[in-house]
Amino acid sequence: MKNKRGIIVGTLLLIILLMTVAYSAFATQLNVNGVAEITGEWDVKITNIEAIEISNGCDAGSPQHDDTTVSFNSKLEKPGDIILYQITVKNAGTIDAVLDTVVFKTEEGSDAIDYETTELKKELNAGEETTFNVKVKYDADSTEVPEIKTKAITGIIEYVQK
Amino acid sequence: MAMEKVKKENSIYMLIISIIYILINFSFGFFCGFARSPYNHDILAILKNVIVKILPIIGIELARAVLINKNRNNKRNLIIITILFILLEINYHAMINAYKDKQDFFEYVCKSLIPLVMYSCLYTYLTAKCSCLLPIIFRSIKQISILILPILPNMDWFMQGSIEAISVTIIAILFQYSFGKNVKTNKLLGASHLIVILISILLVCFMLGMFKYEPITILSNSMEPAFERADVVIYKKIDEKQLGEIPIGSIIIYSTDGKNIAHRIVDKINENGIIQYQTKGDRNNMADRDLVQVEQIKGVYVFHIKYIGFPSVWLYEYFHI
Repeated sequence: MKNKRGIIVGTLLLIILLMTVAYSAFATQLNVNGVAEITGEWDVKITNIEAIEISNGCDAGSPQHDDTTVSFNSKLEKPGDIILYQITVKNAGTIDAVLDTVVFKTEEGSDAIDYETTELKKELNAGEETTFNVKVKYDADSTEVPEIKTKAITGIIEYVQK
Repeated sequence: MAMEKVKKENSIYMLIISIIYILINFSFGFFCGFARSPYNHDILAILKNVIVKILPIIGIELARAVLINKNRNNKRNLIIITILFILLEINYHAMINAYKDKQDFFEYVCKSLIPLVMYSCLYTYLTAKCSCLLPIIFRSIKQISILILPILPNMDWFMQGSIEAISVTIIAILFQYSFGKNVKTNKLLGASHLIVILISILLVCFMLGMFKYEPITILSNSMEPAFERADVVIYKKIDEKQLGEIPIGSIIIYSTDGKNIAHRIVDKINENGIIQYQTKGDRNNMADRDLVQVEQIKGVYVFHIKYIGFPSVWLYEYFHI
């Protein structure tokens, strides 16, 4: 009986070992999205995004967000125009967090449209909330009016345990 | 001495079950995707996390064992002890956060509260029947796996809640057999346990869309008389290659703005090789405003079951109206 149990445990450990090796081999092919939400103790998320400054005639679109991603589609009219978005991140869990990843990706669009971000708070302790801004701007020195006046941007923000 | 042997055997049994649980739980990530673990994976941080998480588990289970040993034969007291430990282990912080929104709270109840209640009942049962070592082994291994694995299955609330509920049931049944109950005396009960577990697993997999066929509850009457509000439509997922070859007259299920719609194809438009479908609800006077791109299509209607979607409709309306 003892031997039988020993064989079962040994087999299981072998399976785990094989899975670990397989995981290492195929890790790059796995679809790993965002940070896992584990019970209520880990709960760092984007809670809001709003356009707080819009130049005349510009369209801030309908900014969207989920727990780790924000996206917005900005339409600017003339050189010098800006749209300023304010994004709120909250640590609603019970574990102190530290900023791990901030990536902003621009989709295809006008070259004259650029963006800049204010720095995110590096450490976000349990219960804390922080905001940061993303400014989308139409190059003031641009002399030509481009055909495309829009540009979509997606931002990914991830915190992990401090 | 014999009792010690039983405890040891059951502890090894629990060790095996715990490892199988982790393997199965992890493998669900291949269906629903993985997400990075938020926990710090430096050696010191792992050690700190393990101590912070495991010591309370041991303390709680030892306390449960002390109380159970004094009330082993009193069912009413065992129930009170279980309730006490449920109250002790509720994550009040998460509950208060979730309470602000009806849907969040419902999800919290399904993915956290119900499993907590079920697990607490299981731990009381295992401790009363054998030893507090069983829950300590299971909980510790489960917790350690969460703390050390770099990626974790990215499950939604339904999947999390369902897997935990099924796991508790299976573990309870396995130990019921291990403790010697109903092994030879009631084979029929054993078969019924197995059937119920299999049906539960299949149902969860079906709801999660792991099969070729998937259900969807109809929320409006736009397709009357083909089907109506609260009917459940079963649709068949179709291959990417066939998405442009769906015949006119078929009912397709497609998603738009985060909602699923089941409408009939009334026209097919091919512009420079890009195929789009014009759809319309049978009861509607006009065709739908936007054309449906092939990427939006989830599947083709196969059949429907009348009225069984009412609970889903009520729940949806409760949360969204």
